Formats: sequence, structure tokens, C-alpha cells
Amino acid sequence: MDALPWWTERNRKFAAEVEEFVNSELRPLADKMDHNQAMEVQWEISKFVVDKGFHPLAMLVEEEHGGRGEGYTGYTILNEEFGRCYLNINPLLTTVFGGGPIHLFGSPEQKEKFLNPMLKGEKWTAICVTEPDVGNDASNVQLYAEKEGDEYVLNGWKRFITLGSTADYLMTYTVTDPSPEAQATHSHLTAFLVPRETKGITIEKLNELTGNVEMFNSVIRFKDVRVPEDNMILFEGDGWTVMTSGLNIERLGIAATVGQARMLVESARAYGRRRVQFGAPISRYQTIQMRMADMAIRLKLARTYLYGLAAQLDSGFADMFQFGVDAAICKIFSTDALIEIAEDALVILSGDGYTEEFLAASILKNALLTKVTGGGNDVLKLFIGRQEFKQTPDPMILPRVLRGASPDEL
Amino acid sequence: MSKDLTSRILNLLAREFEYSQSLHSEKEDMMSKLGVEDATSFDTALQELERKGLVNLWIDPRGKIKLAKITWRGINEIGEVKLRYGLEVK
Repeated sequence: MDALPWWTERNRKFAAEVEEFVNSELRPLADKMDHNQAMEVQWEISKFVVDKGFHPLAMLVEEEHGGRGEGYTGYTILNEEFGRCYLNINPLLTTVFGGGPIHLFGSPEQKEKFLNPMLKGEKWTAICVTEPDVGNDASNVQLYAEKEGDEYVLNGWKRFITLGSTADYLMTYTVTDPSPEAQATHSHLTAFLVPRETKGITIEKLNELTGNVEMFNSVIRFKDVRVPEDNMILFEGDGWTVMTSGLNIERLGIAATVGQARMLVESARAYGRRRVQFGAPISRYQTIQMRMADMAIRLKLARTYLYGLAAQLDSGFADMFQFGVDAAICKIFSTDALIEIAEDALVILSGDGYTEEFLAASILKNALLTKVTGGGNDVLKLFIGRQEFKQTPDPMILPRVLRGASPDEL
Repeated sequence: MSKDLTSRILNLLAREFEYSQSLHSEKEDMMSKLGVEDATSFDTALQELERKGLVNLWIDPRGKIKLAKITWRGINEIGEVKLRYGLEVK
């Protein structure tokens, strides 16, 4: 894979290590598989990846805490390389999105009890944000948690929960203080890591999805579910902080889309050079060249922006609010780019692109989900737009007419 | 030598056809797969196969052979091809 100019020596070595693992072990495995793998195959691959030392969560966790400490750049490198295999590894992804907040905010006891088994591939986690009345409006969580002694009692619904029926833990976001004052300061939510087999949790339905089948997308009922206070992540009222931090990790996880986009660009390149129509390889035709250029531009920009974000976090100097805006921009651009790249690849590959051998249509179908998950792209645009208008314009960049009267004129 | 090379090329193109029925094969890739370094004798073998109607060649505007693909007649010359992937034929 191409290194970015600012990668450290460690980043470069790690990229070479991952590339070797993917080429020699993971890609051959992927080549043999149906792309809508049965869940047991996904578990098998996920465990294999963990055994080989490549759990995405381990990239974020420091070595002294059982991880590999490769940082956000290492995490992104790994996701990109996994993406180009087009393997369903949902157990790994949901565990990193659900386990990430424990790495960031968990107490030493919680890390020992919950995080370590996740890092070893012994436990897996699902994330429970979405509800029947809560989609993009994620701060409006209705699942209610009420304190009783040293426990909290949870009541309500969660839906669209990937691996909800099979994960060991559910990273569950609840409302603990529904007052308007608490909501105004985003201190109304609280996060809990809930063992899935806790009494009162029932899986009511598995959604039949259009793509990404076999992700056990669940509707879950929480009825008088008693959770120990020790399972609370950070403090009561800190759920919004925990949730948004987890979502930032999820948005960086879209590196997988960049990996898929890379595979499509490579496929279109190989195909275009070898497909002869009207007496010449189609790569000779300008219409095809224009599509190839669009694909290359989108891939290059998405990849560069993504690794820029990872570097921001690795620097330790990221302004986390600004990071949230940048992560939203990156998520929108990368996911739209993947869809557009897949469409272009489908046109270049023509009928072949609609087969499971060339995957363009298959990736396109699954890529549609990325537009609406992890924060819908349209809603993220509202967030970005509002932040843009909140910033004070730089007077030195403005035309004279917009600068208005200067103090010495008054 | 030439006959051996032409039959090896034809066999390779037949195997490539089993993987993809749409695509030509790139000359450099074929040479690499067959372990041939002499481009001149490789070109001669390809041209011989084309003369017999066993392969189609694509020659770039500078006159260089770039791509080759087995023809219907070439496949019949080889005999059996077993197309890969796809659903079970019922």
C-alpha cells in the first residue's frame, strides 16, 4: 500500500506487516468465500484475525494494557487493508466500536474485566444506540435507566443492532435524566456495558436486510434489566461524551470503504487494459479514461483526508470538537466516494461488474448502507453547515464592502 | 521449440478463458507466467497462432503485440475447457 508522506517509520513497518498478512493469509481465505458469508464463517475469520494479532481494537490499546499501540494510523491501515479483501468481519468492527469507549473512558477494573477478553477474542460487543423513535436524532434516546441501590434498571427498546443476538456485551446508551435542563447540556445520557444474557433482554426480531446479510441485525427489548453500577462507562450523565467518542472511532473505521474503493479502482484498471471492444482495449477510450480519473481523484482525496484525521488523533493535540466536524466531512466524502467509484467501476466492467466475481455491484449495494449508518450523511451535513456559520469570518479575507467601516472612519 | 511454445501459449490462453471469458491476456503477464524472457520468439509464436486462427491479437498503434485471446477454433484445438465460478449448472 502507498505510504502517506507523514507516516512514521513504525507506521510504514506496520503497513508492510499488515499487507503481508492480508496477501498471504486473508486474501486467499476471502477468495474461497461467498461474499455474504454465513455468520459462523464471520466468527471464524474474526477469531483467526485476532489470533494472528490483528484485532482492530488492539491497535488503539497501548501495549501495557494488552494492545499493540499502533495508534489511529495503525487502526486505519488495518481497516483499509481488510476493506480490500471485502470480507464481512462484523464481530471485529462492532467490538471495536463498542469496546473503544471502554479503552478511552473505562476504569482500570473495567478494562481488566471487559476490555482484555475482547482483545483476546473471547468476548464480542454490539452497540445499542438506535431505537424505534431514535435514528439520526441520537441524543433523543428513550431507553430509560433508573437507579435502584447499586444497580440501574433499564426499560425500553433498541433496534438495528448489528450482532445484537450473538454479541456477549451490548454497549447501551440510556437516558438517566430526561429533564429539559439536562438535555440542554447533553448530560441526560448514560452508557452501560450490559451482558447480553442478562435477565429481561429479549431479541424480538432479526431484520431482513437488502445487503450485508448475515449481520444479525436485531430488535431488542429491555424489560426491567438490572445492570450493576460498576458497568457504567464514565459517570452518570456522561453518555453523550462516550457515544460521540465511539462514533468518531466508527467514522475512522470507514477506512474499510477506502480499501474497497482501492480494490474497485484496481479491478477497473486491470479490466480496462484487457477488455477489447470496437477493436481496442477500452482503456483507450476517453469516456473510460474520464471515469477512471474520477475514481482515482475520489480515492486519493478520501484516503489522504482519512489518514490526516488519524494523524490528528495520534498527535495528541486534536481539538476534539473540530475533530468531530472533520470526521463528519471525511465520513460523508468517503462513503459518497465509494458509491460513485462502485458505479463507475460497474460501468467500466459492464455485465461482468454485475457478477459476484468482479464485485462492483455487490459493493455498490452494500455501500448504500454507509450513507445512512454511523450518522446519516444528510444529518452530518446539517451539523457541518451549522458549525460553518458559527465561525467568525476572517475580516482580512473579506472583500472591502463586507468589512464595512473601519474604526478610523468613526 | 517454437511448436512447444505455441502449444504452451495456447494452453495458457485456454486456462485464462476458464477464469474470464471477457478478457484478453497481457503479453508481459503471459511471458511471466510461462517463464519466457525472449520477447521476439514469443511474438513469433503468437503470430503463428494468429495465422492459424487460434488466437486473436491486439497490436497497439506502434505495432507492438499487447494482448491475446484464444478463439473458438483455438478452444476446439485444446479440447476441454471447464469454466470456473458461477452457480451450479442445473
